[in-house]
Amino acid sequence: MKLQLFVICVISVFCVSYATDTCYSSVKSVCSSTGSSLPLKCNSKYGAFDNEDIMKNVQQYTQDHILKSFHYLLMSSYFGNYEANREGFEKLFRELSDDAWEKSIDLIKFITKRGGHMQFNKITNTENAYDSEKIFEFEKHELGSMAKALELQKNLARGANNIHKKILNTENHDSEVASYIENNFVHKHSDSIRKLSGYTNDLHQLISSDDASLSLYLFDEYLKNTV
Amino acid sequence: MLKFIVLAAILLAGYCVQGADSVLSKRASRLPSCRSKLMDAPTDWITMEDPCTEKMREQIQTEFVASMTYLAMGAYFAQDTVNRPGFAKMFFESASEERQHAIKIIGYLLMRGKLTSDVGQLIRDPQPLGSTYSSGADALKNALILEASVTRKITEMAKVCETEFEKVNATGHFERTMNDYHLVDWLTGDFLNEQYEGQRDLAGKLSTLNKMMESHGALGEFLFDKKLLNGNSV
Repeated sequence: MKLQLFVICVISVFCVSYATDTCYSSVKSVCSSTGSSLPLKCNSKYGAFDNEDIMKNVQQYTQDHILKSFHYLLMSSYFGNYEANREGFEKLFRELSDDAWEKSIDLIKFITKRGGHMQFNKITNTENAYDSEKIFEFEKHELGSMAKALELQKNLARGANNIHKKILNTENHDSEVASYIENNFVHKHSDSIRKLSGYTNDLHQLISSDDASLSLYLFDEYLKNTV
Repeated sequence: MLKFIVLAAILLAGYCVQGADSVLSKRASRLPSCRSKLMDAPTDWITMEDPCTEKMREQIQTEFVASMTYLAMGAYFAQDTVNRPGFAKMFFESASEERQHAIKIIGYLLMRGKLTSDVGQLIRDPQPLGSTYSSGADALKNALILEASVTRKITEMAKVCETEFEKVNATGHFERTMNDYHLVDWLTGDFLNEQYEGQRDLAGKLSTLNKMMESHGALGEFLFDKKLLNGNSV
C-alpha cells in the first residue's frame, strides 16, 4: 500500500514537472554551474495559441483588417473628389477605415500578449484568406460602394466566427480568446452590418424614385450628420 | 371668349407635358439610375502638372510603407519575449502618424481637384521593410534611416513641383508650366517641418539610449523603455 502511494507520488511529481518542463528546466540549465547559452523557453503562450493553425488564423484576421482599412480609405478618398463630392459617404468610409486600422493594432497587441507574433507576409492555407489580389473598382457609385462595404464587413464577421469556432472545440478550448473576440468584434460586426444593410436598401429605394440626384444629395447630407 | 380658349389650351398643353413626364418617371422608377450624371465643370482651376501629381501619388505609398514598417516594429517590441512596451507604444503611434501623413496628402490632392480616377492604385499592398531587430537602438537607427529617406523623397518632390517646363496644351500649342508655389510651400512648410522635428527626436533618443547602453547595457535599455512607456522625455 505504501509502495503504491509512493509510486503514485513519484509519477504525479514527474508529471507535474514534465508539464511545466520547458520554462523552469531551461532556467535550471541556464543557472547550473555548467552554464548554458540556451535561450530561455519562457513565454506567455498557452491555450489556443499553442496551436500554430489558430495563431495563423488570428494573424490572417489582423491582415484582413489592415487591408480593409486601405480599401475603405480609398473608397472614402474617391467620394471626397470634387466630382463625386459626397461628404457623408466620405465620412462613413473614413470612419470604417479608421476603425479597421485601430482594430488591427489592437489585434497585434492581443497576439503578442498571448505569446504570439505578428506575421505580415501573405499567409497561406488559412480558411478565411481574403483575396487581396482582386482588383478593386473604387470609382463606384453610391449604391455600389455601400453594397461593397456591406460585403467587406460580412467578410470580417466570417473571420471572427472562424476563429471562434476553432477555439471552442475541446482540444483548443480558450475562453480568453473567445471573450476577446466576442467583446471586441462580433457584436460590433452585427451592428455595422445591420447599419450598412439598412443604408443599402434605403439607397436602392431612393434612387428608384423620380429624382435620384436630389435623393442622393439628401441621403449624403443625412450620412454626414449621423455618422 | 378668346382668352378662355387660350387659357384652356395652355392648361391642356401643361397637362400633356406632365402626363408624358410621369410616364417617363414611372419607367425611371423601374430602372434605378445608379450612377449620377456628371455635369461639365470648367477644369482651368485644376492646375497640378502630371509629373508633380505622380510624385504626390507615389508619396502616399511611401508613407504607407513607413507606416507598415513602424507597425512591424511595434509588433516586434510588444512580444512577451522581447518585452519592451515603451518602444512598442512609440512605434505603434508612429505607424498611425505615418498613416495620417498619407491621408493628409490624399486630402491635398482632393483639394486641388485630383483623384477623380485611378484611386485604386494609390495603395499597393505596402509591406514592412523589416520584421526583427537586435535591440531598441537597432530599431531607432532603422527608423532614423527610414525618416531620412522619406524626407529625401519629399524634397525631390518639391523640386519636381517647382520645375517649370514646356508642354503641349489642349489647343496644340506649346506653353510653359508654372511653379506650383502653393504645393511647394505646403511641402516645405508643413511636411518638411514635421520630418525635421521627427528626425531630431529620433536622433536624440538614439544618442541617449546608446550612452545608457554603453555604461549599463541591458539595464540602460530597460530603463529607457520605461521612460518611453510613461511618456517621459528622453
